Amino acid sequence: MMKSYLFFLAFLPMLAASAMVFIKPARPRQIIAIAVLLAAFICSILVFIKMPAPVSLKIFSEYSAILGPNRLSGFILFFINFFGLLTAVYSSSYTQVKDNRFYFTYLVTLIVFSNLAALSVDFISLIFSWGALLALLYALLSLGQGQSASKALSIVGFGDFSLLLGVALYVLSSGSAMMPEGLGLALDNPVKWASFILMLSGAFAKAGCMPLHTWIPDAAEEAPVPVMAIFPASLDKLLGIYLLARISTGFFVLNNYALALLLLAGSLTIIIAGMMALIQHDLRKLLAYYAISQAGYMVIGFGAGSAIGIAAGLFHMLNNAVYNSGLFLSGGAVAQRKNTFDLNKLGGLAIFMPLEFVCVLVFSLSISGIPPFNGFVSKWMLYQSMISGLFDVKSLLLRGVFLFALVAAMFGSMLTLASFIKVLYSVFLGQDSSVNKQIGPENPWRIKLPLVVLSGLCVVFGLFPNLFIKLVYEPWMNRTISLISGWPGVVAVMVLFLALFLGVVNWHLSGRGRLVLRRDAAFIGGEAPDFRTGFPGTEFYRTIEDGPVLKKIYRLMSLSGTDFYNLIEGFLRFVAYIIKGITLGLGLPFEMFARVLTKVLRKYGKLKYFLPKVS
Amino acid sequence: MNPIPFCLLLSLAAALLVAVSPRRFKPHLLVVSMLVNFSAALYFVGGLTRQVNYTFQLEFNRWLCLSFAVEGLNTFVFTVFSFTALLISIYCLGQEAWEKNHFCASVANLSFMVMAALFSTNLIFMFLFFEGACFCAFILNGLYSSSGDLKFRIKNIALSSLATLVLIFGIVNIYLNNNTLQLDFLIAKPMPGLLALFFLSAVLLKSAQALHLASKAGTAASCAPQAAVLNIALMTSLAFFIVARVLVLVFSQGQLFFDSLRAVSMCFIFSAAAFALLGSDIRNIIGSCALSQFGFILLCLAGARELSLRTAMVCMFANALAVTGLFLCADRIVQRTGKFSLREIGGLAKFMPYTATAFILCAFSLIGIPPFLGFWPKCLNVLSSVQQGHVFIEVMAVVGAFVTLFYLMRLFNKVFLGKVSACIWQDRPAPSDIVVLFIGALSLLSGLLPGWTYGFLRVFIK
Repeated sequence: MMKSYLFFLAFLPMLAASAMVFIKPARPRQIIAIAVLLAAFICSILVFIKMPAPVSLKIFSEYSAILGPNRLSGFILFFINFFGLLTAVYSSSYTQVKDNRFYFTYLVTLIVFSNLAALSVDFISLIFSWGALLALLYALLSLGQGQSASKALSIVGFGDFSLLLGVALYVLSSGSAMMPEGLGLALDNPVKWASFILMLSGAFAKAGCMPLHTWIPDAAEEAPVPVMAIFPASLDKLLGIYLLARISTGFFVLNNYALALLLLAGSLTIIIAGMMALIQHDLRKLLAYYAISQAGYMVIGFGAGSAIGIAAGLFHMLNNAVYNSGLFLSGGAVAQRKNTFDLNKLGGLAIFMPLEFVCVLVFSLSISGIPPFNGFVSKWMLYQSMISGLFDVKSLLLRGVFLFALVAAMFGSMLTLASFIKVLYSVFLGQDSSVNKQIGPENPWRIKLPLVVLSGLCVVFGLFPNLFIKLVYEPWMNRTISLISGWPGVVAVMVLFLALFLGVVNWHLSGRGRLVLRRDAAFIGGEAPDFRTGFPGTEFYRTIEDGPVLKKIYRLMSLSGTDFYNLIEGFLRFVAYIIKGITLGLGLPFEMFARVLTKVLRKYGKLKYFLPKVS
Repeated sequence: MNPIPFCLLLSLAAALLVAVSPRRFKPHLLVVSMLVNFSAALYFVGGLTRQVNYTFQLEFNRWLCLSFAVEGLNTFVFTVFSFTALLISIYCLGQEAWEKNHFCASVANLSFMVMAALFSTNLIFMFLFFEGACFCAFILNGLYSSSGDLKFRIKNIALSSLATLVLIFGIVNIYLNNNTLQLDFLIAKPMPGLLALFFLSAVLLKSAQALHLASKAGTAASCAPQAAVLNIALMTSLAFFIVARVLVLVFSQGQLFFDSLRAVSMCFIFSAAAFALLGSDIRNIIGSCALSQFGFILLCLAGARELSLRTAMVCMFANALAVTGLFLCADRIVQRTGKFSLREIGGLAKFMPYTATAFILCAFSLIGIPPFLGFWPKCLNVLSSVQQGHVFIEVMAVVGAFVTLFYLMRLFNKVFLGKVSACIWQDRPAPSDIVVLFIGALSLLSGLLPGWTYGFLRVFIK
């Protein structure tokens, strides 16, 4: 049974991807890509419903790959194909990529290897498909200028090699190359610790957690928006956090130190990425920092170690994939019309792009954790897990870390809200302060449809979080969880629709049956501007940026020396100089011998007999 | 009719024909000569599939016996060598300018020497043909046609002569201990650990010297295809074969030897990687990279199990393809820009998209990124060696693979991305581009279908 599913999830898309390279017109390539991804999506739904037994595929005599779903990986598989399909639909109208000869080949291949990674039951097939995603990350990022692609390759490659080594050490400890489902290994010796840290590096690099995150903002500036929407915003989070879930719940039994490590890493990721996002002037870079910051929430969920914490981490992973990819795609929709991502050159677009505005509003409220959207529920669950941890654990040190994580998570939400007030003001409200006020034609439905679907999901998961908890989490973990305060889903839906209905009635009754430009006093982030001609959104929070302490911190964070990539490069070059010196030193006797012999040959003029010159 | 002397004579005749033919026909005749070698390899593979044992013996006296045999390992190595050399010779069509260094004749002669050394089952003849191959390499490196960089060449001769002396000493010692030089009679005989180490060092020194000279920055005579030939002939084929066949498979070695082999492989990986990381000349970086990657092959051999040998063979095949591809890409770059230094080249991806694609495919295979062929040996070697308890060595090997990623991506960034500093016209798929693209595509396909690659190896390992 699983073999027939694999035909649609891997073999057929792979075949189509290979064929697409040889098709010259763009339209058939787009249609084929959407068709095979639709087939894969339908197949992923069937896999999730039927949960077929794993299948063993003989690769060569020493190794057979074992592929099959469990409740969590089936769910991940479903969303991989869902995001793949949405991105393909969106990309078929996105100017920067729709005509590219290789884009759809890369996209379909990306979904194939992501499917294989999610379905892997043994470590080797996981490493193989995981590593193949690295090559595809490079290929897709190279569609931009390519410089950031190499940085991404180096940092994520570091994570992948770490994962390989971590797996080797894990297999040494456990004696099996199969990924364990039940109780994992206790972290009671250095080899297991090393394995845990190395595997964690692999998951962190994929999910974009600190300190392995620096490739994401750079890539955001260069890569096409659909690539950012599918990679760091959705697939990387799904797979990276999926691996983290397997590490922290199946591979190892985490002790207090491991939990503290996760909590600290997650908290720092939230705060530092949130602070960096606050001062960005480029929409893509700002969103990239939020792709990083949100990963921190997921990590602290796993750091809580409790059932509700893990559920919160996984649910936040899903929610983040939905709204973050929605935000990137919305950014692309804006750029399609204004041809820029610079917040200084955008403004007043709500009247021209009302649908996109509503979608971005939903995404912004979701990412900021405002009810009744999905981000609120997962963050609420996270706060609950932090508070439970604070009271349940006995270690004073760990209590302190829980408190720090709780404060970081709440502060992170504030930073997020502040940043997205800036985004909404700069892009959709305020005034268009650019010299060229021209705007492109309206976006086609293929650009708008994914935004509508994703914003709809933000509402659905916000109102019905039990869809995830009851269908995925509880069957996978085999235990039940309860929220501190129940969420009346049906009542909430009714109230929401009633409010919307009343709003529409009010709008019509007020005699405004159409959209008009309205000038009004606006909230400008608490700033007091001293000029009257307008106030660009990028001036928001200038006082924070220029604050006496924060100014120095920002300067420190923007130094290239704090970038993981530069640190690694510097270290490798330093070691290389030492090794080169030693190697040359060992060859010194032969160097001296050659020097003496050369002098002798030159002195006695016999050189020409040995080495006659030929032009 | 015995096919072994026939094939050897045919190869020799083809090499002589290349040597005496007019200059403008030489590149074409070189292709024919390589085709002859490759056909011979395929014939031997067919024999192995049908389980026919080809042997040839001509006894002069008790210790001097000219004997050849077609076995699994030597046929595999010769197949890979002749296939890669054929690709290089196709690439070199139309390059008459290289004839001032006797390029075609040297390559044809080198191929014959490699063939004879691989199939020889007598140590003294194996040594003589190996020396012959090294001599061809020296000619190929322009040793007798340029007085530039004299000091470096003299150092090269000194080191090479020292290695020859060590090899002679080793062979004499083996004869005195066992009273024979026939490999068949030496199977499972003990070899003193120190002697094995000297033997290993001498073989590696001689092979690495030639490649190092070919890719040396500032050497007037060096060109990238020549370095590619030397890499495939001396390092990837002969050095690998001698270490695997003579030192690992024939003689019974102790743990000391295998630990030393691991240490030597680490030296190769890291010292060459250091030069590659700090280098600024394309040929030099790729040459150092080739030496560094040879360390990974040695590391696979150090596993001393059947799986290790099979992994080493896949690693050798992957390296042969990828390094050849990188050298040929380097040659394309140098031909188009006339420059070797990274400081003078940049932004070429826009002008040379085919070369850039081939370069990145080969680089990914060499680094060991899935789904390329280079991934499988690296992954399997790490997993199996850690199981044997060699944790530290494998940690270092993974670090080495990461360093490879770092310097190859640095090279790609500097040459193909960034600011355009040198290039004149738009790239069109020339025959040479098709060759490098074919090599890159083969690395990808064979990695995607490892079952075929490993299944193919079954013909050679029983």
